[in-house]
Amino acid sequence: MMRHWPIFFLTGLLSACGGGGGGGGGSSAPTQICTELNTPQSFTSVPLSAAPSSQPNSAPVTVEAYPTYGNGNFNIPYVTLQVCNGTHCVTVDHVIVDTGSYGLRVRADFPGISTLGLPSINNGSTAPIAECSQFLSGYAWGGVYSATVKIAGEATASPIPIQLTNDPNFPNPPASCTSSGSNIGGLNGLGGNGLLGIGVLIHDTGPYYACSTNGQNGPLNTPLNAILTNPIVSFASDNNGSILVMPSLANYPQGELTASGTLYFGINTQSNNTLNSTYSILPTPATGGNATFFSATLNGQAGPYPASFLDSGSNELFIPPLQPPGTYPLNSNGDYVPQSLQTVSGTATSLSVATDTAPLSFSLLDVTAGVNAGNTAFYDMGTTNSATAGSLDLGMPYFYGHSIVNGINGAQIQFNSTTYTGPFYAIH
Amino acid sequence: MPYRYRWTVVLVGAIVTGTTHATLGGLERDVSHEGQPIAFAAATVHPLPAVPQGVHQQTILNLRSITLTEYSANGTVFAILWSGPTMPDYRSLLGTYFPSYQQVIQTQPLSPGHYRAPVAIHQPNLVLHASGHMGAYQGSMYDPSAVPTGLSITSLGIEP
Repeated sequence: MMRHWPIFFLTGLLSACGGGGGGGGGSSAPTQICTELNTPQSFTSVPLSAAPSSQPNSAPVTVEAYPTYGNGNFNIPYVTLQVCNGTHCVTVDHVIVDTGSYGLRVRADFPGISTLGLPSINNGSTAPIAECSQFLSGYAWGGVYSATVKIAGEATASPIPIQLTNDPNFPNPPASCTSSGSNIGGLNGLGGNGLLGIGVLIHDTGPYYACSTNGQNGPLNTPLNAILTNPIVSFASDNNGSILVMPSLANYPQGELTASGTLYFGINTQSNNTLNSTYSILPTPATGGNATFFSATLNGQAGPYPASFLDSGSNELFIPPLQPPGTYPLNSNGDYVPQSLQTVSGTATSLSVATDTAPLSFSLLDVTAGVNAGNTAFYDMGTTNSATAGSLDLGMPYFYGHSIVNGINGAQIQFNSTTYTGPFYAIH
Repeated sequence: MPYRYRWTVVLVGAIVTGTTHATLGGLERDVSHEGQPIAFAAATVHPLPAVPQGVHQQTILNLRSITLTEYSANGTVFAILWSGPTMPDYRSLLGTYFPSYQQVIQTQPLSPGHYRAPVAIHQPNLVLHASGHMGAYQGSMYDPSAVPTGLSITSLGIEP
């Protein structure tokens, strides 16, 4: 559903800024004016069936130091994929598996990407569209292009919109883009060569901008074909979700040098991605303030935490302050630093189907020694989250020793003789 | 006590005053320029508590589909609570407080993963929090020195 705003209202609010901001693209092209567009945030759900498939559907996942050790390069899961025009493909390694975002982003300066000559997606006939991907304290600015994406034996059935971050074909980001914080669109900011957003929803949230040298930037609403989407839904097969399977690190409280797992595409489409009764399923709202959230309680803590989620792109456990502080001490950065392993247990409850619950358990430890040793995979690394938000952000540390299922909005599966429709998580 | 809507002020303000933006520290009557006034629906994670006498509350939906609840006293906005699918434009929302935010954020090390860690800023004139992930962000901001005497900020659902 698109909202229609009175015109006087729109024109008073849209930011039109060329240059400024600093950080991003920085080209020698004529000055372009980029106008923020109104991006729809609500879409009709389309059924994604669990049609049987025999397509190779598994991609190796590695957690390792990339591009270098230190500086926070830990708990980042990488896959390799291909970005293609009609005839040629570029293989992009070290793309971050991110179940907390939607759509594929690749740094524009990855070798070979520019030679593909990917077609830009325009607003109206002439104004190329850029996106300002927003994160909590950073942004990634760059153009939206049409590309075919391939991973494992899967490929998008037709080209999809992807973002090239730090794109030299666009001016520096507008002020309304940069205000969240730092430019993270490059190799060191991202901590990889791209971000593969494959969470439980389909559509990216923007904001998007239309850019031109003459300021004639076309319609005020972001065209639907420019909005980044979860690439999985465009696969010809195995397109209803994914399962990220990581090994247990329970014997390594100070972390491992690397970890290896597998990303399976599809749910209940093949023998290797079928949910048995050892999984707990957590349907989640698709829209509104509760989208992607479940509620959590933790034994011995006040709670509940109604804005909780799983996110492979969060490289720590982000947990509101736990009581008592003597058991869960924090350092000056707000990191949990108990000197002996502390395990916290609780329950996750679906916000859509109150009878669907999953047991939760995570551990916290001062892992300074492991970080100093150059380890990159930690199951017990955590830091504080805001208390009032009521949010457990169960990041990558939670994924070790688990199979985490992301059922995409509209995914339809049978689970324990019941039909479930995405979005949902399932945890084993 | 359910909060009451101040439709007259909201609508007149939208038409008359042009392009000013409601900001922290800005005028309550400019709040409507940030977006379309709405009734605060059950679509948010936390129900809003009752507002004490002397404090006004307005909830709006802005162009980025972010729900903003702005608290004001004596006509000046002293706190903002927000949630939405993407991040707000802090430059617009924080107004004269934006440099304080920018100063803190830009002195943090640029490490992979850090950009999606929850944000907590405690400055003498600005307390700001943000959490969540793409598609489902939430946060709050307020000026401790502008909070009406005797009012507990946490009673408004805002994190100190």
